[in-house]
This record gives sequence, structure tokens and C-alpha cells, in this order.
Amino acid sequence: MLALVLAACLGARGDAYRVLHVRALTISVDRTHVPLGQALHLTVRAVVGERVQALPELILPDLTAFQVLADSERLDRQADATTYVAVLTITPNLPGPAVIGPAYIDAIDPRSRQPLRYRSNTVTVVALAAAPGEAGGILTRLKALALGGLALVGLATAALALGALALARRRRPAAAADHALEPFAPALPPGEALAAWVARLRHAPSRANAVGARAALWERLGAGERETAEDVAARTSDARWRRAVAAAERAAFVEPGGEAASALHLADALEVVCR
Amino acid sequence: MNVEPLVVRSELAKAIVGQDEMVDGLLLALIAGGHALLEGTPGLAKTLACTSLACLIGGAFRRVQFTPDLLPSDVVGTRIYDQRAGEFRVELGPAFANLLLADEINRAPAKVQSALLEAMQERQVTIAGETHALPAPFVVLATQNPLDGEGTYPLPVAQLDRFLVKIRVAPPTREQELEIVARYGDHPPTLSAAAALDDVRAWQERARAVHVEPPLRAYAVDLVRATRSHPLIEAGASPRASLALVALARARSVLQGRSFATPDDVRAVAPAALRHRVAWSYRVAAEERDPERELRELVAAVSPP
Repeated sequence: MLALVLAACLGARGDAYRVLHVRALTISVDRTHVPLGQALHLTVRAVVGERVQALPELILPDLTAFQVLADSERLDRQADATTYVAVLTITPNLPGPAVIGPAYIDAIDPRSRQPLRYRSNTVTVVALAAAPGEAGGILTRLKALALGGLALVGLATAALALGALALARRRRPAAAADHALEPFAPALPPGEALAAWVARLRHAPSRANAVGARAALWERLGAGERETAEDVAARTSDARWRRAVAAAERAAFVEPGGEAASALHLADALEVVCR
Repeated sequence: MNVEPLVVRSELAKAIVGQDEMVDGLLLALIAGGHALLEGTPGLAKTLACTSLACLIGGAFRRVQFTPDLLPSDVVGTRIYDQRAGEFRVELGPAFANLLLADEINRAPAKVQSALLEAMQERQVTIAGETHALPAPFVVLATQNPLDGEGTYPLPVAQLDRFLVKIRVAPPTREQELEIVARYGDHPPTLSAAAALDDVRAWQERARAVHVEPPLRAYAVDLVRATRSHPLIEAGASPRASLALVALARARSVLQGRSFATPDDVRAVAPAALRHRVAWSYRVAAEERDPERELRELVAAVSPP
């Protein structure tokens, strides 16, 4: 039933993408290890280079492993940028590690004029089994009562809450375009981003992934959006990083037929600098 | 055996001290199959660079000193009556060369300039109703002196547009000048052909095959469009400038031994491709601004892919 409602709502929203300069898209938590039943705060932060009234393109991370207890959002509009911050108070459903993210923004890339999906980083939260006598949260109490069935109801409630939240505040662009969307300028934390791109390039050595890895490398070296490879290479005297910059440039602009080999070469170069 | 353009470049450096921008600009024009306009005060090795390049590629080289009394037929050729044979025959002009040095092009009247520019564009000339194809490659290297205003006929922007690049020839540094004095004082360097015309044709073929990703083309177009909305530019560059940017970026890729172009290629060639294609507003002169600096800032303000 829920699936039907979601599908109907999504299908009705065929909104066109907007051109957005996505400068940052990150998620973070105030605690990475939390006793089961206790709450933590998840912050989603997005910065776009336009003054916008709302950011409906932002798709919050999947939180099915958590229960959303509260949420708040804030939109700061500057003359040439808008910062969106959402803070969600969540609690893990089950003990053990759970990955949150990524969050997404689907928009038209201002450089290539192509629809692209910008992805945030991911964070891992480890839910610890509550110590005896510790004041528990909702699920701890449920566990204490050994009501597994009730826990499932809780999960379903969390999913419903998430769906309702997403539908109330976000419009998801036409899902059909998803397969063509590739990250161009992901705003992952620097070290994590490059390592993640190495894995992605090895898995799918495509030009799109090479372009994404190049953007992450540029960001890692502190390059501005108006800098070219020569500028970026000049930022470091380390030959390994300079080789990575050259490999990224080749992989992003090489002629058709050379994409895969260049992307793998880029993965090798990035792996060297990630060590 | 194929000779790489870098070989010619390093040979050219034996004759020309410094002047990297001029040397690269000439080679880029040659590889892209376009024409180059060199602007600089006398004595900066403009003519030497052109003659050296002609020598290094082993092509037919002709030089025309443009003067106010020059006629179109002095450049493209004419029909003359052969008294012995008793008939008219066509005498081809100096335009029929692989490298044509049009020295001080702004000293000739508009009629001669347009005859040459037509030949540059069409790569053929018509003499007495008969069309003659110019040899390939055909590259015009024109020079002009920016200081002499009297007795000159400045080329209008529409005609300047026919030149693929405009190269500014700057005075040498003190160290370079010392090197010039030392090098040409004792034993002036002698050059011999380092490549052949077939090599040049091969470079041009390779340049045409260089891969340019769509975002790079968009970058070139954005750069050109930026000249049309610049508050200090009265008339921006035409779409021919976009084509020139991409052609030059391809040529630079070949010069650097690549088979694909990068944003650095486009950015590096942008000043040479754009500087003669824009008409600056009177404010630039009134406010004593440097057009070259304004152009560099314009290029730097456009985000590359």
C-alpha cells in the first residue's frame, strides 16, 4: 500500500531539473557510537551557488535503519548562495553498524548542461547494546519486552515516517533519468572521497566516474572552480599528486575508446596518493 | 619518417631567443592551417621567425613588403602579354607559396589587403576569370607595427577575423638581449630543414582528428560569448572565434603530443584567438586600461569544465 502511494506521488512529480552550482553536500553525525535506544543528531548540509527559495532537489539519506524522532531545517540565503541545513534526531533500530547516506541532489550541471546526481558522503553509526540498568529508548524497551513483532511494527512506522517526511518536503525528479546521472562534483570529505572514487573507478572505469574523481581530486587540492589542470598541478610540488592530476585530465577528456584504460590508470594514480 | 612539431620548435629556438609566445603561435597557426598576424615594434625578430620557420619546414617561402603603392596583382598575380608567343599568359604572384610573409600589412591600401584576405579565406585566387588553387599548406604570416599611425591603413575587425591568431611580440628581457647579442655577434646560427611539407600535412591531419569533449566545446563557446557581454567591449567576437578556439586547442594538443584536447589548451590559446576579434570601448583608452590585461581577466573569469 505504502509502495503504491509512493509510486503515485513520485509519478505525479515530473518536475524539470534546475541548473544548480552544488558547492557542498555533506552529512555528519554528532556521535558515531551510540547505545541502542539513545538518540543522535544527523546533520545534512547543502550549499548551492544560487539564491533559491527552497531546495526541493535535495533527497535525504535512507534512514530505514533508524527511527526519526524529530527534525528541523534551516535555509540561509546569501546574495549569491544558499545554505540548507537539516538536523534530524534519530535513534538506531538494531544493534550493530549502520550506514547512513548518501544524500542526493539532482540538478543540471552548469558546466556540461547535463542532468547530474550529486552525492554526499556516507557515515557509519554503530549502535551499542544498552548496558544493564541504563535508561533505554523506545527500541531498548521493546527489546526488553522481547516483542520482536512490535519491533517490526516500529520499523514499518519509521519507514512510513520517512516516506511522509520525504514526500512532504522533497520532490524527487523523474526516476527514469537516474541511471544517466553521475556525480560531477561530489562534496565528500577529501580523504574519504578519493578512496571512494578509486573503488568506483575500479568497479566501473567510465568517463563519468573519471570526471567525478577529477572533481574530488580538484577539491582535495583546494582548487577553485575556475582553475584548470595546470593551476591545480601548480598547487603541489609532490610528483605523485601531479601525476594524479595529469591522469585525471586524461581520463576526463581522452578520446572514445580510451576511457576505460585511462580511468584505471587514474585509479592507480589516486591509490598512490591515498596511501 | 614522421617528424614531431616539437622538433621544429626546438630548432626554431636556435634562431629565436625567447619569444615563446611567438614561436608557439606560429607553430599553432601552421598546425591548425590558419593564418597569423604578428604585432610588434621593428627589430623583434618577427621576420626572422617567419623565414626560419619556412626554412625548417622546407616549403616555398615568399615575402611581400606591403607599401602604399602596392597593387592587388602584385600579390596574387596578373595576366601579361607575351610578345614572343603573341598571347596572354598568367603570371602567378607571390601568394603562391606555402608560407607568405606579408610584411607591414597595414601599410598597403584596403584594396590590396582585401585581395590577400580573400586568398587567405578561399585558398584560391582568380586572375582574369581563371581560378587558381593555392598550394597546401598555405599560411600567411602578416606583420604590423603598432606604433606607426601615419601612412597606414589599419585592418578593420571584420578582416582581422580572418587571422586565426594575433601574436603580440614583446621586447626581450635583458638576459635574452644579451643572448641575442652573443649569438648573432659571433656565429649567427644556420638552419636547415628539420621537417618536410608532408610532415606539416600530417600534423594538420592529426589536429583535425584530435578529440574535443562536448564540455570543452561549450567552454570555448562560453569564452567567446563572454566577449559579447563584457562592459568594456563594444563588439564581441564572432562564432568564427569559437571555431578558431577549438582549432587552436586541437593544434596545441598535437604540439604537446596528445590526441585529445583539454581545458588548458583552450585557455592557453584564448588570448591569441580573441585579442584581434574584439573591439574595445573608448572607455578602455579613456581610463588608461590595458586591453591585454582585461582580456586575460575575461578569460580567467570563465569557469573551465
